[in-house]
Amino acid sequence: MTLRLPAFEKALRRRVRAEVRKSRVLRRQARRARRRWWLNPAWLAFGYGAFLIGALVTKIAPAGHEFAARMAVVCLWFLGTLATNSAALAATLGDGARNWCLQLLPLRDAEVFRIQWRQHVRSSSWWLLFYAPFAVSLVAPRITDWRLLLAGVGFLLLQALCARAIVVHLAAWGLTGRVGAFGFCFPLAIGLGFLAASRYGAGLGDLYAALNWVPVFGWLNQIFLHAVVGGSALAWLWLIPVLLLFGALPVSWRRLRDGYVLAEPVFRPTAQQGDEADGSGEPVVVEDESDVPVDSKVGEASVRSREFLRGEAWWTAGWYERMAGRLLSARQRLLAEFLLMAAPNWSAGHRRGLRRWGLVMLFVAGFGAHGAWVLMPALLFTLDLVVPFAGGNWPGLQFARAGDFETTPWALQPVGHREIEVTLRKLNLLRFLTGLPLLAGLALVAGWRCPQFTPAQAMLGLVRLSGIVLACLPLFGLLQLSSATDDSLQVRWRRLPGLLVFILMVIGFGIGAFLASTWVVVLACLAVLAVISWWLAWSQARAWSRGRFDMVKRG
Amino acid sequence: MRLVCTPVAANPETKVRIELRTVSKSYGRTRALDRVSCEIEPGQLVAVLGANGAGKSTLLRCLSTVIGADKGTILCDGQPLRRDRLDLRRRMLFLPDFPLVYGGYSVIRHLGMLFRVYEAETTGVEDRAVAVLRDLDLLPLANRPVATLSRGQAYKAALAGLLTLDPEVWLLDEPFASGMDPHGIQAFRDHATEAVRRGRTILYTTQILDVVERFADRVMVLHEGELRAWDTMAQLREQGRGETDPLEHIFRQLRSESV
Repeated sequence: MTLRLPAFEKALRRRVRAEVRKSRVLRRQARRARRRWWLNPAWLAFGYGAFLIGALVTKIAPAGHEFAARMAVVCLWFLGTLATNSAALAATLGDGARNWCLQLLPLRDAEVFRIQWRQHVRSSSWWLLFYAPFAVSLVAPRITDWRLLLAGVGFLLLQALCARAIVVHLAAWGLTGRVGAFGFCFPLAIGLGFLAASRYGAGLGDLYAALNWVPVFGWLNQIFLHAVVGGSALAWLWLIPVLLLFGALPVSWRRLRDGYVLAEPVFRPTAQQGDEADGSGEPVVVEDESDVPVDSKVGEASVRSREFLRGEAWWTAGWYERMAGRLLSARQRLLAEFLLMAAPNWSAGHRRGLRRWGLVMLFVAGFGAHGAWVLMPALLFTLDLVVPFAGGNWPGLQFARAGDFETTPWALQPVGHREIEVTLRKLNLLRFLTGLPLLAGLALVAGWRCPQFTPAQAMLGLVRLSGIVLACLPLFGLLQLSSATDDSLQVRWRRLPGLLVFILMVIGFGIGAFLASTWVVVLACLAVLAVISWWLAWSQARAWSRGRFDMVKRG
Repeated sequence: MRLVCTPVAANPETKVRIELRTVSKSYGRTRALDRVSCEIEPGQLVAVLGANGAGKSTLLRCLSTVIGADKGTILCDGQPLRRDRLDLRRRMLFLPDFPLVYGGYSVIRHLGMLFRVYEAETTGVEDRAVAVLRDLDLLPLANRPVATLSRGQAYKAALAGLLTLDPEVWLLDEPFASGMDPHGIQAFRDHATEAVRRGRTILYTTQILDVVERFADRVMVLHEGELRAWDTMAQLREQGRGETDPLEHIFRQLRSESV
């Protein structure tokens, strides 16, 4: 079943146009309501960024390692595609606003699935277009034969399709996940860091080996190049797994379709900040109605007790909450509760993180001797516990529908940017400080087990990393607040290049602070990093107070 | 229908005068507000009227600083209203037609959070809360999570926050199409009438002309973002002499301009 009648829509559109053309007033109204096609600046920034990253990789890689460096980025790019597609599919098929609309129509689940599937394919196909500049900038340099260029770009696009195919296979087996946070920026930024490390003599070979282990298709890159560049006929066998991947697609797709059940609109309270999220994604049942007293007298007594005006029990909740309670002022504690929309429960989240970190340590201790590649997933995991990469998960800063627009609870209450930013900065600092022992433990185990590092070197790296995180603290708050506004879409065109320069400077000085050989340079890089991040946060606060952007969702 | 209990005002003395000076707001090329200028004196009950897409909700959102005006100024007691002026923002509360009330909160907890964010936990606030909850039939549901309430009840929960907090400026988007039952609507009207008497300023949008005729001191008519009428009901009746329904007459005129 299709929800569209193209012929009817076309005929109607033609009639409407004719009617509008007849009337001067209607023409004026149509002009007022006309929406010009516009390119989302965030997409444009992504296109620019992708191109720059591709170009940068070929520039900064040390002589003789250009190929390996490019391949490393391709692997990360593949991971990003996989993560983003997986998140997009989960969002489309999951419990979303679009599904609620479809529930009102007399459709079977299978029909809803087909509609949603088509929607997913249409919307996610746009991304292929934005990968083109990345592919061209990565493949084009030093390739003189246009056929090779075409082959390279084609291969990259084929990888994107493969990523999508893998997502379907994973989803068919219930592995559609909330991995969107590990989308593009994160792995690419890390990739850049590692690539820069290669310039200063750190083991690019190890990195490349690592990247060939992590994604499924890392090894395929090499075989492909053996086939195309090396001319080895045997290497063309790489097509077999690709064909298998696509050949099995109908089976997985059918399994996905048959198992699809249109989710009911269940109340889903947003999870607490980052480490608190249980990650299950399951709807949380709020409270059994039978447990709630339905009595006016009870309700009145509850109000008269003034209990509802008291804050949460920070001092008895847990060690983490007690520390946070001491760090925050009374108003900031209130703001933290407002952002959480619940009682703080960070201690439990920290304990869960600790257990997972223990497993990671065992992994590093067990396989560390096999190469530094082991460190990469371990570092990613530990950093995710310590630094709010994904922007946190504050319900008070999350968009929700309020009639015909979407806004955040923050927008509707008299809560200032400055006070909320300071609260977030303090909480981010606490999160980092309480997670520092985890990073130190990782550094020690890595220094002990990995032959590439000594414990002293690993600890030194930790000190530099800590400096970078502390210098960037305002940036983390900025990103968290930015997610509650449409500021990124309201950046003026002429300011976009300037903003990109600042972002690249943050990445560049961050890498500099991590790799510089003298402490003076390290400190200088950290100082510049701190100034930039403070300035960006200050600019955002200023633009917020002047109403330069809206606190509603644009899409 | 009478209020069971009339709550005592939170700040009976304070009043706010709002002035809009050539306020414009565009969404892309769509001009939602086009140089809107007017002065709203304290103690006025203002109905904002207009066809769909005329800019009514945009006006309320601009006043609540949820969105920023592209051009023009909004003055609150002569001072520019900006997002960082929390002292001014604490004097108003905006209730969208689907209010944002966190579903996991009980009605009471929602009230508590609102009072604390507005820094209005004064003595006697609980008496006011009880009175409002009783008027809105919410006392039996006071401990229930908002997510388990019906749409009308959830709106009442948000409205209870507004009525109990009793800020100087009330901004309500379509309160009469909010799913509230007749008793809730009447309770709201009683509270609003009483609040206006105390000098509170109330702006609400609606499409129900019958309500406006009986429940507004002044009427603001927006058309394609422009302010077309800003008069008292008496003035409107005078302008539409001979017309049984002056508001309908205005709308007919605006429509005849459009088509």
